[in-house]
Amino acid sequence: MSLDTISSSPLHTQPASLTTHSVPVEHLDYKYIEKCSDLKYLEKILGVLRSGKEGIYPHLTEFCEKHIEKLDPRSRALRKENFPATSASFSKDEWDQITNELQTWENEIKINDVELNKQLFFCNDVNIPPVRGSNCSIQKVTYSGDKAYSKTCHLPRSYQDWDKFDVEKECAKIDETLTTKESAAIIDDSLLKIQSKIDTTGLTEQEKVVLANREKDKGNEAFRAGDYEEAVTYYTRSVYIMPMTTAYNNRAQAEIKLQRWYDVLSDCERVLQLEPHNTKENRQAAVRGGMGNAQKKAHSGGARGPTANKYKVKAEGEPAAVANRKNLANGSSSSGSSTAQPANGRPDSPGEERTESTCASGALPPPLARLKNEGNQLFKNGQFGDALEKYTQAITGFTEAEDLCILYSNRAACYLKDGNSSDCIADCSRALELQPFSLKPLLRRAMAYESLERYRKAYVDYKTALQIDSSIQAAHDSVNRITRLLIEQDGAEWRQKLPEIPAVPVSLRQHHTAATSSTHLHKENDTQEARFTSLKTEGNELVKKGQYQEAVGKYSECLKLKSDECAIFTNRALCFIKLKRFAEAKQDCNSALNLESSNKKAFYRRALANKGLKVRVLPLEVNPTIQYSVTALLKQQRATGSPSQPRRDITITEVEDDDEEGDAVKSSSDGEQKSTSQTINLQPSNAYEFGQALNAARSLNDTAACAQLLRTVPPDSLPQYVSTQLDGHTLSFIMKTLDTHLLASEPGVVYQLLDHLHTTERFSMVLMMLNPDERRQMTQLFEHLCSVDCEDFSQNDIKNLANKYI
Amino acid sequence: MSAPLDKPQVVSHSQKSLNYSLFDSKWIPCSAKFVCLGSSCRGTGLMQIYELQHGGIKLVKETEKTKPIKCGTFGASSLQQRHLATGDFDGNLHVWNLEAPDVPVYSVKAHKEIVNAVDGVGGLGIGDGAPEIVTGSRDGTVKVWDPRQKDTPVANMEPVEGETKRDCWTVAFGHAFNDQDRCVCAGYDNGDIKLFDLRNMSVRWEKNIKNGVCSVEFDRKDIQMNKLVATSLEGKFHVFDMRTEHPTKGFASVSEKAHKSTVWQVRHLPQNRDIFMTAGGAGNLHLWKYEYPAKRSEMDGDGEERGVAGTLNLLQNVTLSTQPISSLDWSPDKQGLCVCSSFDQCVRVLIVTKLNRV
Repeated sequence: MSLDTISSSPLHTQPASLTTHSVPVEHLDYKYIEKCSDLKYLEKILGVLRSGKEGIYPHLTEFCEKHIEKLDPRSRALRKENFPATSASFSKDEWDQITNELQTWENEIKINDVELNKQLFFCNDVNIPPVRGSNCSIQKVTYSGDKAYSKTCHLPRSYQDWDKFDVEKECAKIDETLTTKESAAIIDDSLLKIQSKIDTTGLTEQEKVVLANREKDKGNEAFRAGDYEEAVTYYTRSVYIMPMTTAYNNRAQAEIKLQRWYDVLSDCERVLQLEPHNTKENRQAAVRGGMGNAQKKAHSGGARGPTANKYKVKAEGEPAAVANRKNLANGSSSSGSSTAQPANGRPDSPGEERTESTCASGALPPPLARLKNEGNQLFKNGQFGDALEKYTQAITGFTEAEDLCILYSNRAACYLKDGNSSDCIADCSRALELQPFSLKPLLRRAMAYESLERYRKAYVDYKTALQIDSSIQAAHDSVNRITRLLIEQDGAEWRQKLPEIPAVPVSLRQHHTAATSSTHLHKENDTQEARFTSLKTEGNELVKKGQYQEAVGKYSECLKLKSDECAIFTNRALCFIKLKRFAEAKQDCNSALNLESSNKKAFYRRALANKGLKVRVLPLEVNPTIQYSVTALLKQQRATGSPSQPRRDITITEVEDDDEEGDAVKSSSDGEQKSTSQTINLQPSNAYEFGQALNAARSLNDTAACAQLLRTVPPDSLPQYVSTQLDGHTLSFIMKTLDTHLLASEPGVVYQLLDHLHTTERFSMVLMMLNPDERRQMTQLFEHLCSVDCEDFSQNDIKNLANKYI
Repeated sequence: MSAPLDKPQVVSHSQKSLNYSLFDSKWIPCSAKFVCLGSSCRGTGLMQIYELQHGGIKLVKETEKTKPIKCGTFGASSLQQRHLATGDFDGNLHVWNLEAPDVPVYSVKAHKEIVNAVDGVGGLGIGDGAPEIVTGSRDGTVKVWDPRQKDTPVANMEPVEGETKRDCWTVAFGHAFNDQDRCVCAGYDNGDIKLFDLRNMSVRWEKNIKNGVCSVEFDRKDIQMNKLVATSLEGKFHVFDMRTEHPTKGFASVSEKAHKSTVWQVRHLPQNRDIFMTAGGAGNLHLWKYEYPAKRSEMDGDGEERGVAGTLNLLQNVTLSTQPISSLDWSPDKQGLCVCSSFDQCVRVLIVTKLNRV
């Protein structure tokens, strides 16, 4: 019965006439239904199953329903006829609640009703606008002719048509989008204005209450729809009729959305005047104070500062109110829907609190331990205000860091519950000073920051907490939420605005979660890494295009992300050199060398920079050559390392740098230098490689490469390297190199090289074969060598050596 | 599909079988009483007042009138007076003092034929401006009355001479957010919806939804036009976002098929304008919630503002009867309490739970 083979094309493979609904009976099958993903067709199948035309299969029907629900939980096919709920549908408590509520309302409303009837009413026409048009002749003229609509009249369906009417078909049309042309209407918005005042003369108190509540409801609805301006207007109307704290509260909330801080402030103050102990207002006040501050910071507008600060002071100066705030805790914000406070449903349970306290209370002196336990008990009962006092007493009586930390943390929890976020932050910070990286104060502070909408700080705290224990789901959720908010707020580069996230010492991370936590961290690093890499690539691209100025910008950004990357410094140095900003280039090279003391490129570029600066500094003690200080490094390396087997991998290891390295060499001041680093192995390890390198250099007539080659070779082993390969051209090439490149900077090296070169095999033979030009060159070299003063050799030594050559 | 208990439940509080045809039922504001309007089997009109009492409903007053009463409203009366305006089969508009219902406090022969629908504004503190009653009739006219003005309507909207007169099935006030602005929306048997602007005395908007319009209602009468729900004969209803009107595309709308029969009524919850109940011809009620889109308007290519319709979310549906539900009314005082009458000559009081949580 299974039809797996055709499941990919469920429709039309079977004659449609098999059933009235064109669903082949084979399709009424578990396997088929399970595989089918065509929602419309499944709905059809469900229709057939429900109709019972093919028999009744309750399980299959249910299965089909479940499958549809999986695909689309809001599918219309799933709508079933329900019957009104009765007492049986509810638990006893729920049912009692419903009936009791209704009963109470019934009694109340009946009293109201009777009172309303008792009142003598008289027509208060005074405050009712006049009858339409009765006192306005123009208007009267306008519509005395009766309004007439002359548009073409649509005809309704005739009665016969209704006999043929197919509800299903008509309903199916709804899924097709209907685009009907509508008449254009001009709306004159200029006069659309909601009056902020209502004439309430002659209204009874009862009526006013109804009216005020209704206006408030309208405000709430507008708030939910996102029309904050309108919401404010309706709340204003509500308070105009009857000043109610809820309306003020809600208006303040709407004003927050509109960022009218002064209005918020005045509303809060009015609420406190009406109800000095209004808990919600205190909470909101704290929020507002923080927001005001945040605002102040963001805009550095001094004007807002005093407001927020003043308010903070005010909020703190209400200790009585603070103590009375215990009822607030269980998220009892009656108009929670309209007050979009993120403080509801905190994952901070008193249970957690208890465990923390019991383990620590042993360390406290008995009276303080008692105070603390009482505080914990009160906290558990939701009496946060009282718990707060207990903790405060305990804190003032004791000064042991570890216990104080817990006490502060607990008090912070109370503050958090009370909505006093700023005090909560202060306490958490204190606790964290006493014991850095303790989890609970971190989490609490994060929540407090979040409720103050200081998302960046909250983010950092959550992240830090997650480093300690990555298994806190609530923190993960919050991080996600804040990330979204921050992206909304700061755009894609929100991370740059974040304060630095402190790294938690590994010892403090909870061991069972350490692995996961680090992966989490890695993930974050990865994104940064990706950004870094992309910036670097962009920079390199720009260098290739010769846009050095822009490249400098990119590299600088890179360095902001990661300041310990040597390659970036050297690359930027190159750009600076190109831009002829030698001082900066030198600085960059120095930074690179600080990071990696043996970076050749850095040396080389510093040399270039120095050359540019016309400052000849002796970079390293071994060789005084500035221009090619790289060699010095190599020599040093060899001296310290194994001299017999110099390392081969002198070539640049960073792939992305190769290109611009070429650039760099090419454009260096000598001009005759060629890109040799790739083609010539400048660190030969045996005679064969040396010979190859030398030949390559000679064929390219690259004296610079040759000079480098000669520098790398220890002079005493030069004869071994040259071995039998010496010929006239090679010899003269070496002479030329020594003369042009090495003599000026390293006469000692030249001397030693020459001193050893003549011991090479076949040297005398080659010497005889030299042509006059080459001989002259050699003479020149020795003349130059004579004129150089050096400790390594004397004039006599030169003369002796010269005798061997000439 | 099991119904999770966290969504609103419709609880049948009490029901009563009556011996006459019920057309309309309305809560009396600020009381636990409601009025039932209908036609007795002898062809006379009946007006009954019931009161909730200890988990049941009890008849407290009954008045017989000469003509069957089709519809009623408290909308134009003050809370102190709580006068009921009714329209009857003969085209009369009466305003009754329910304490002394023998003689009407206001009476006018409003239409030549049956008054299909009546709505009021300006009373009960709902809507600024003068108290006004609008009536829609089979004679094709829509008239606005002020109870202070005898005999003549303050506004009359009828088709031009020679045009066929369409049966007006439903009327509703809206946009009454200050003293001057006020709109009347009327639905006709041919699917026309017309929006009359009473301040400018002009047709502000027209639309045809192809099938007869059984009921129209603004989510709120006393705010700037926000949403309009129009239900139709073949089981669809449309929700128009009335805030943003595009010069050519008009108002954005979302439609939904709900009942496999005529949707007779739509009523918004007085405590939350985004929740409304539709009453169907197959005796079922559907409770909906309108979810606003992230942005209610956007700019189209030509720089014109265009509205964006939200989505509809079915919160609950129940089947009460096999006969159509003829009327539905939410209690203005108690959230979730509603009364509905159906053609099986039954009046039901229902409680919808958990409305504050959706």
